[in-house]
Amino acid sequence: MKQRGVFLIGVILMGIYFFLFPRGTGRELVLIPRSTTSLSSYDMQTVAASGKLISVRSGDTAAYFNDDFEPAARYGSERMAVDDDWLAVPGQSGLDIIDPDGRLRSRLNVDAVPIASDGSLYLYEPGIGRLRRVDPSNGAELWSMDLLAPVTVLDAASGRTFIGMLDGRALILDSNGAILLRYRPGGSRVEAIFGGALSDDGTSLALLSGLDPQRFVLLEERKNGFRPVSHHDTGSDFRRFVPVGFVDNGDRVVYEGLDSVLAVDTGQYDVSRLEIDGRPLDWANDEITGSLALLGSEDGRESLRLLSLRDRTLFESGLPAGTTGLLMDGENLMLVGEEYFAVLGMEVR
Amino acid sequence: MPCFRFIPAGFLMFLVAFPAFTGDWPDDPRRVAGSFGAGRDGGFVPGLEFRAEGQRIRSWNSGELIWTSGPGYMEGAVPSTGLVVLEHPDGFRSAYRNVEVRPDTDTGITEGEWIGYAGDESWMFIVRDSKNEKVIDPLTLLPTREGLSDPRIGDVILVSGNERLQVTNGMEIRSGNWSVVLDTAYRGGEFAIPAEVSVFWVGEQAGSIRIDSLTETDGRILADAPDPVSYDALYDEDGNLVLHNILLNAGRGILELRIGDESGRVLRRAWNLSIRSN
Repeated sequence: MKQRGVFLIGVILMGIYFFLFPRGTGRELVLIPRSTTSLSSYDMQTVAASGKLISVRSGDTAAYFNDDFEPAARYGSERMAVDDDWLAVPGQSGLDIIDPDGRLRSRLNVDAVPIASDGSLYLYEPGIGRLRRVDPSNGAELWSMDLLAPVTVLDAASGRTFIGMLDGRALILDSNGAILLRYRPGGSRVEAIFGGALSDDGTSLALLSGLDPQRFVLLEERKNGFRPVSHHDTGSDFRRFVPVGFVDNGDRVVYEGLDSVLAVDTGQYDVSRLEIDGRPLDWANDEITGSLALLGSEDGRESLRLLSLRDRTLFESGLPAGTTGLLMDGENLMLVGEEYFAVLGMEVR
Repeated sequence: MPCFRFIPAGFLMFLVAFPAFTGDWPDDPRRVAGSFGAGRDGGFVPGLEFRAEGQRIRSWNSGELIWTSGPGYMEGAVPSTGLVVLEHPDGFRSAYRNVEVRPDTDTGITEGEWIGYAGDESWMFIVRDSKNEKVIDPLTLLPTREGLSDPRIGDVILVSGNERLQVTNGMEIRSGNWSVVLDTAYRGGEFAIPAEVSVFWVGEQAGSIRIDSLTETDGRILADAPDPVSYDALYDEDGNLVLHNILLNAGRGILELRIGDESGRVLRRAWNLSIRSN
């Protein structure tokens, strides 16, 4: 049954190629289906892996693929953290850090939620509010702190860690756990951090905070520390996690708005609206070409919109139901579904 | 033989501190399985734990829904075991952790409205006083339970350096500073939960612990007991409650331990000790 589903997804992707991309007279972007793999354990045929692997997470499933997008390994757990080089999964006495091929790196005797971000491993114990950063190569603790308020967002970049909390506090810690920033956006009747992200170099922080109004705040590191450089009301009223991310080599921040993705220019602080059908589920950015792929969902139907650097629509299409995430690596657009992983090659002809 | 008496002062303290904000129990009080401020995995438990039996969880007080998160994986989000948070008047927030969130929950929540189902094994009720940036013992805000079982004291150990002695009547020990270790007070699984633990030596209070609230300072959580103390100052490595620096000077006297529950009842145990000079 699942093999049939994967076959159908392949047919849909072929349809996208043959019927939606007729040969034009000028140069155009063409998406070429390269592979479709079922993420079901009994369908997935793994191969020996060497070199760099790509990790894919969909719900309770993690899968690794080699350079040719052949499946290398698959793991299943509700509670795990997945990185391209390692993963943390429940073990016999707590948590095991293992290589993608299953070799044990270290065993941690802890009942914690593992979180992977930018190659770092964090262990969060919400019951007692303890957050630890751990070296994934050997399981050694790098720093630890206890937080009374629930942690809602965690992001890492360049050794720094951003922590957003439900009491409205935002913290940035350096690689040793020293606090570089303590910040409360304020300006809202209800204080809380609903989303946030660090830029790749760790010097800019974007926050989605508060209720009534809900606000976007951008902070940049200057000589005398982090300073807010731009803020605006978002018009939204989300009472849950809101995705926020830096794209285009840090030139823009994108975040979920009402039935759209909002993009903030980090140089001019202009805000633009990127339309998408329904609620934005995910986005992916190719930093070489500057193209941005948006995944939206409306009434259980998922759709893809691919934008150029100047936000011109390059491609729009419906997607197989259950698509949950996107990845881009320059030449390829990868679709992650609840049951499948598909790769589309991007070529300009 | 346990001996009970009322301590109305403690009871009055709750009423003075939170006069109009009592709310209602979010679950059946008979499901209480763990106390606020208990020691676990080297940290303080920040709320009241209830056994999870698939029951409905109700709002403690009327308020505004400000956060829900479920157990599913979402890129960038901190994984959750199910969390609902309500904002109440006067700066209070209540959090319901390890709860399957009711899918059609509205923003405005009335007192007693059901907001979700209890998750696996146990769920936790947490109350935060945002004005004072403290997490407070929910028992200080909830109506007093009826039918409480008696407070209980397990083994009582005196510790000094490597010396560990179980307290028995008529025992003889050397004088000096001792730590009193209780192996059952503040542990989970008890319906009656100690609200206050005191040690008296020859009629004078030598030490007391009452954990009313938790605060956070420089990435560490401290218990107001009533002075701010770290986890290590209240619990040993096995999670047993410890009263440190109990000075037992030479002579004969009564070492008395009093454990009070939230209703004001006090269990008293006493031992005749003989303290010899060093």
